[in-house]
Amino acid sequence: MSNEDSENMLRRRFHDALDPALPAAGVEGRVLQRLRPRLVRSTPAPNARWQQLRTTLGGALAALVVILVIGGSLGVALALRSHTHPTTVPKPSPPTTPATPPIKPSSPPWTPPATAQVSSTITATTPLLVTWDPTSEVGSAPSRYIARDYQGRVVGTFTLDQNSQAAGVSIAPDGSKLLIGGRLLYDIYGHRLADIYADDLPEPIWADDSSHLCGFIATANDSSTGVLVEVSASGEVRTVARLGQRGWGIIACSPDADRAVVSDSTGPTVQEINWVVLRLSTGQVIATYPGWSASGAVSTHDGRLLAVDEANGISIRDMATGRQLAWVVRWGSQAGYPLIGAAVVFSWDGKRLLIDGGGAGGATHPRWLVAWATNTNVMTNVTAGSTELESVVPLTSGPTFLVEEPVSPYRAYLLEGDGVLHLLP
Amino acid sequence: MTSIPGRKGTVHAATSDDDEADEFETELRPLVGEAVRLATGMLLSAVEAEDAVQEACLRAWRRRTNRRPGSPLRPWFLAIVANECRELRQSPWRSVLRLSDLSAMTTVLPADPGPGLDLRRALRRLPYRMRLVLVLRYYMDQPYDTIASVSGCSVNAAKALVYRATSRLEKALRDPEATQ
Repeated sequence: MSNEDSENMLRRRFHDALDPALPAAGVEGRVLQRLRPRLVRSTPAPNARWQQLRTTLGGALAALVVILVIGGSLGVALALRSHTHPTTVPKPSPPTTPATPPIKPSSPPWTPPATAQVSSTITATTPLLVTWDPTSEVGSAPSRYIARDYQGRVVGTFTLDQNSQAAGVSIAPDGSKLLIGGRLLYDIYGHRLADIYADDLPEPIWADDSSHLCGFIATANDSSTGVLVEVSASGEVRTVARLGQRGWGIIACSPDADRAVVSDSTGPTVQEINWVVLRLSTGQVIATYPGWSASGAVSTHDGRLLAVDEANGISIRDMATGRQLAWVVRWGSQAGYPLIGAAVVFSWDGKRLLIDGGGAGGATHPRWLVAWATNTNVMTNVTAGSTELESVVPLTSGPTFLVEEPVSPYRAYLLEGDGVLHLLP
Repeated sequence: MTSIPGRKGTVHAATSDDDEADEFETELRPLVGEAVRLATGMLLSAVEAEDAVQEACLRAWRRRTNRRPGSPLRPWFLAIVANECRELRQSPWRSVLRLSDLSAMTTVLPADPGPGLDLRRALRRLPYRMRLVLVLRYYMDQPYDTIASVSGCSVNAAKALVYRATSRLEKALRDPEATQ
């Protein structure tokens, strides 16, 4: 291929890639229309400079006064909130890994179905983005899941009878498998893999290899036996460790990193959580960190980092050493009170953290995608009046997330690590 | 009738500003479309591109006396746009979104987004100057002397930079993880 051909091919690729991103037609008119009033205004006459300086200084002074007033109000509001809303910090819905550490095991709300009616048109290889399509549920029609590859292309659908759907579906991080009703394990191609349900394994979480599940065994009389198990996709149960009767919850389970992170909520106060890091293969306790105050926490998929929601901010901890790597503070609001932002989910590479700063009745519902290492907002998303959080799931590589809107028209997006959103077809 | 000495002068000044603004706007108008394309290539976001061009226009107006008399407006203005994009990229607050605006602000992927998405991702990973010369060369079909003017280097340096940037882009397209 000649240089010219090669250049022309590149030109075509640039046009294909960038033309769809151009602003809507009429951009020239819009720019010039908005520009004109600013042109003359922005031409300071020589004798107007002092006036401009005086205005600037006056503005700065006014801003200072406003900051002081707001700061004072904030302090008062915080003090009020600490008395009137001590336990109302909302925890956003968990993504693929549980967001709240002190998970209280409980029996499933109903008897899971013994079998599920599934069908699949998917043949593409994983990883896949699998999203539920709520519009499919018309009458008794089966629930439909749409599978896309990581480029956003639809590659097929997975359907499931509504009874099984109602029992709850948990999708493996790479979209390869579904756990239905806490019991039935299917692959995305429609094959039944195992029936893993046991009365004594409530709320297992997917391991980051998408081939195992981890959880704590419970008995009918005791939900805190402290027996940590790993379940394979074929239904084989392996005991990882016996940690004793405490209020255990599992935060991360990573066969690849040979690590599990669990929480123990039986500290001296409600908010003091003990954290334990284990070697998943042997059950050996690698580290124990007692008493980090937390109202919630999320881990990276491999349990390497933990974002702990503390009273005044989020601390990012290295779980190998317990060292605090960063301190991230974002303020949202709840019913007019300032509300400290809570960690929702890490990106797969651990470099981005999604933070939610809104609560029930909040006038605004801000969310931030934060590069926590530099404490910078990659994206800020403020909604008015919304209290629902989109489902946000990290892709199993890099800093990208799959974002789903919870209300009609149920759109899904790819949120890139630099804050760019792509609407999926 | 009492004349008010200062007022007449003020009116004259305003008229003069208006005339100059008219002239500036007329000169700028044909370049806005190109500026938007450059900004879109640099920022990969329609909204940010529009904002960047808006600010660049204002900046160009404020700096209009810095322009060498008789020199062409185009490369000078495109350089301002490119600088504005660089500053916007460095700002931690560059992506402030409101949910109600999401539909308008997001890039709707075509049915087969593969090549376009790959290229946008690869571009995003390139350093500012490399992205700039590539967008100027392959998206805006600019000659090397314009590329040199906008990116602030000699024509030979611009050619070398385009060559290096193209190699880097092709590598990034072949192996998306390579430049991460």
